[in-house]
Amino acid sequence: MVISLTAIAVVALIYVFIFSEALSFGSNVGFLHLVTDESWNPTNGKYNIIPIVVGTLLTTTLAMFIAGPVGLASAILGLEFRTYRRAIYRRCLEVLGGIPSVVIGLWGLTTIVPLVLKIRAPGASLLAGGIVLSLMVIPTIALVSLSSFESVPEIDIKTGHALGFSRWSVVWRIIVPQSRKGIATGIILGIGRAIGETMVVLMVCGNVIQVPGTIFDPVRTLTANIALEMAYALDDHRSALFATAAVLLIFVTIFVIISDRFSSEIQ
Amino acid sequence: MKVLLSKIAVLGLGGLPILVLAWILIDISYSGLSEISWSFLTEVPTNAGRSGGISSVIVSTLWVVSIATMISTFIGLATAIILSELSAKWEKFCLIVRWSLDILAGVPSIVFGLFGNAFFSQVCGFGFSILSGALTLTVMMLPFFIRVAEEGLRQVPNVYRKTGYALGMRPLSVTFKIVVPQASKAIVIGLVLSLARAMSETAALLFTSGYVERWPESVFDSGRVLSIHIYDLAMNVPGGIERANASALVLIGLLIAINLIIYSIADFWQRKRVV
Amino acid sequence: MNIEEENIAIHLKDVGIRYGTTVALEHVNLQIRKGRITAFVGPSGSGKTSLLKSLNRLSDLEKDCVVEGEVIVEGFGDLNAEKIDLVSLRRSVGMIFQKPNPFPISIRKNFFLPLRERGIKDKKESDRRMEKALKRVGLWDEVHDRLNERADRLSGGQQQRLCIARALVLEPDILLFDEPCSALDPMATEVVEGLISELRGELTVIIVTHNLAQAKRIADEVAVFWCAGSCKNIVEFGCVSQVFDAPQSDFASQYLSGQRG
Repeated sequence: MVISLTAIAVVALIYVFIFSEALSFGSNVGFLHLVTDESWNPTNGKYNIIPIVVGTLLTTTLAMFIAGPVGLASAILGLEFRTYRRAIYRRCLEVLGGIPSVVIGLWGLTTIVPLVLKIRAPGASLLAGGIVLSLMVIPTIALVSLSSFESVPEIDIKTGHALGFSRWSVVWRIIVPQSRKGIATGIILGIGRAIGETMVVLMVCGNVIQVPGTIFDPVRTLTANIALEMAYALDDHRSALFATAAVLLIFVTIFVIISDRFSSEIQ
Repeated sequence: MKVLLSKIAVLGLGGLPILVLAWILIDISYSGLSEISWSFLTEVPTNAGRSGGISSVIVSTLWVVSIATMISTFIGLATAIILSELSAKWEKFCLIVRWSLDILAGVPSIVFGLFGNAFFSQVCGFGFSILSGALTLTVMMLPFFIRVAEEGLRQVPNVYRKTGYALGMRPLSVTFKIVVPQASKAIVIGLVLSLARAMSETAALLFTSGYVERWPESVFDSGRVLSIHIYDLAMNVPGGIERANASALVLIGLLIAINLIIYSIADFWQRKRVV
Repeated sequence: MNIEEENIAIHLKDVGIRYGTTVALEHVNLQIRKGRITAFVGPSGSGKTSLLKSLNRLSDLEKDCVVEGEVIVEGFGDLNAEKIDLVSLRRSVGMIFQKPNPFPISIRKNFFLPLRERGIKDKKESDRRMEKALKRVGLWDEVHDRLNERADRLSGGQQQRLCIARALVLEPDILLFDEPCSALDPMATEVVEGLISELRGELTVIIVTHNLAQAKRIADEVAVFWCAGSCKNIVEFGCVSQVFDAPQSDFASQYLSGQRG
C-alpha cells in the first residue's frame, strides 16, 4: 500500500517540481514573454519559444508522415508471415524499437545527415530529423497495428475468403478497416514518443533556433533545447526551461488521456 | 494494376524497417569493430575519449543500471501485487495508481531528467551522482515493469488462489508462495526489458549522473554511462565518431548479453521451481 | 427427524445468500450430522455451490457475495456473528473443487506448502504425513517414485485423488466436495466415489453433485435445492431412501423423477 503510493507520489512530485519552477518563471518574468519576445536569448532576458515549439511540431509531423505509411505497411507485411516467421519478424521490429535512441541518433548523424547534405547544406536539418525520428516511431505503430490486425475475429476473415475475396482484398477491405482503432492508438502512441524524443533530434536536427523556411533548414525542438541549455542555465533561464518542460508534460498528459480512451474503447 | 501497385508499395515500404535495422547494425559494426580491442574494454578513457578505453564508463553504467533495477524490482513488484491481487478491494485506489502509471509511462525522458536534477540532485542533495541517476531511472522504469509484472500475475488462474485459501493458507503465503512463483517468468522478463530500457537511456541521465569519466569510487560519485559517452563522443569531441560507434557496439552487445543471460535464468528458474 | 445436538457438525439457521441484489438462496435451515455424507442436489443455479462455499467462507472471495443468517460450524460457532480465524477454519473445513487443481509444482511441494503453513516444517514429518495421505487415497503406489515431478502432469483422476489427499493431510473435520467427479471419466469417478464412501464415519462430508445416481450411491442424507420464482430454498431433506422413494414436496418429486430441472 505504502509502496504503491510511490507511483502516485512520484507523479505528483514531478508535476509539483516542474510546475512550481515553471510558475516561478511566470511570476518572475511572465508567461507572455514566451510568445511575445522577439527571440529566444535567455542570457539577455528574451524568451520567445515559438520557433522551438514550431520546430517540435514540424519534426513530429514530418516523422509521422513517414512513420504512418511505413509502419502500417510493415504491419500488413507482417500478416504475410505465419507462425514462427511472424514471431521472428516481430522480434526484428522489437529490436529496432529497442536500439538505444542515442545509437539511432549516432547512425543518423553519420549516415542520414551526410545523405541530406548531398542534396543541400547543411545536412543536419528538419528533414534529417524527421527521417531518423520516424525510425523511432515505426516499430510502435507497426507492432500495435499488427496486434490489432491479429485480433480481428477469424470468422470475419473466413467469411471474406468464402465470398471469394482475394487475399489482398481480405487484408485491405476487412482486416485493416476493422483495426482502425488499433492503428489510431499506435499513431497516438507514436506521436507521444516523437514529441518526447530527445537524443535523436538533438543529434541530427542542427539545433538552430528558427522557423525553418524549407525542410533542409536546421531546427531546434523543445526537448533538444532543454538538453542543450540545462547544463549552464541559472535562475530565470532555468525556470524558463522548466516552463518548456511543463508544456511538454501537458502535451503528453493529453495524449495519455486520448490513448487511454481509445484503448478502453477497443476493449 | 492498381492492386499490383499497392502490393509493391506495401512490400517496399513494409520491408524498409527491417532493411534499415540491418543497415544500422552493419554500419555501426563496420565502423566500430576496428576500434574494439582488449585495451579498449579495460582502460580508462583519455583525451576526452579519443584514446584509452571505456572501462570506467562500463562500470558506471552497470552501477547505475543495477541500482535502478534493484530498487524498481522492490517497489515495482509490491505495486504490481497490490494492483493485481487487491484491485477488487481497493478499486478506487488502484484506479488512481494505474492512471498515474500511465502518465508516468508517457513522460518524455528529458523531463525525467529535469525532475531528477531538481529533486534527487538538488533537494535530496545527491548532486550529480550515480545514485541520482539510478533513482531517476527507477522512476522511469517503474511503469513499464509494473505493467508487465501485473499482467503476469493476472495470468495466474484464480483457482490457485482459491485452492490456497481452501487449504488454510494465509493470504500473504498464497500470494508469495503460489501466485508470485507462478508469475516469476513474466516478472523476470519484465525486469529484463525495463533493465534494457534503463541501459539505453540517455536524456534522463544528462543532468543527473553526470559526465565524469574516471572510475567511480562510490554511488555518490558522478559517473558517465555508456549512452552519454556515445553522445559526447559524437557531438562534442571532434574525431570521436569511430570511438562512438565502438561504444555503441559495446552497448548493443551488453543489451543482447543481458537479454540472453536473464532469459536463460528465467528458464532455469522455472524448471527449478518444479522440484 | 430427531437428531441429538452433539451429533450436529453444521447447523444453518435462516441462512440467505445473495450476490449484490440477486438472491441465490433464502431461509435455509439445515442440520448436518457428524460423520455422515450429505449430498446437495438440484438444478444448476439453485445455490448448492454458494451454500457450500459459505461453510468455509470461501464465499468471501466471490464478488459482492453476502451471507446472512447463522452458519454454525462445530468448534467455530456462528461464522457470521463472531470474528473467526479464517485460516484455522479453512484448515478444519477442507474443500475439493470441480476441476482437479493441483498447483503446477511438484507433487511433494503440493503437500509441503500447506503443511508448512500449518507449522509442520520438519521434512521427515511432512514426508510421513504425505505418505499416509497418499496411501489413504491409493495413490502412493502410483506416484511414490515420482514425487518430484509436476503434479499437473498426472491424469485427471490421479490429480483429483491428489487434491483429496492434499486436503486430508491437514486433518480436517469436515470435507466439502464441489462436484468432484464432473471433470472425470467414469473409471476415475468410480475410484473417487469409493474414496469418499470410505471417509464415512471419520469425517463429515458434504458433496454437491448433479448426478442423482451418484448421490444415491454414496450419500447418507440428501438435500434437494430448488429455485423457482420466489422459492430459493431446500425443498426436501432427509435420508437417501426417504428422499428418493417418498419425496414430500412436488418440486422434489418432479426433479428426482426427471420431469423437471
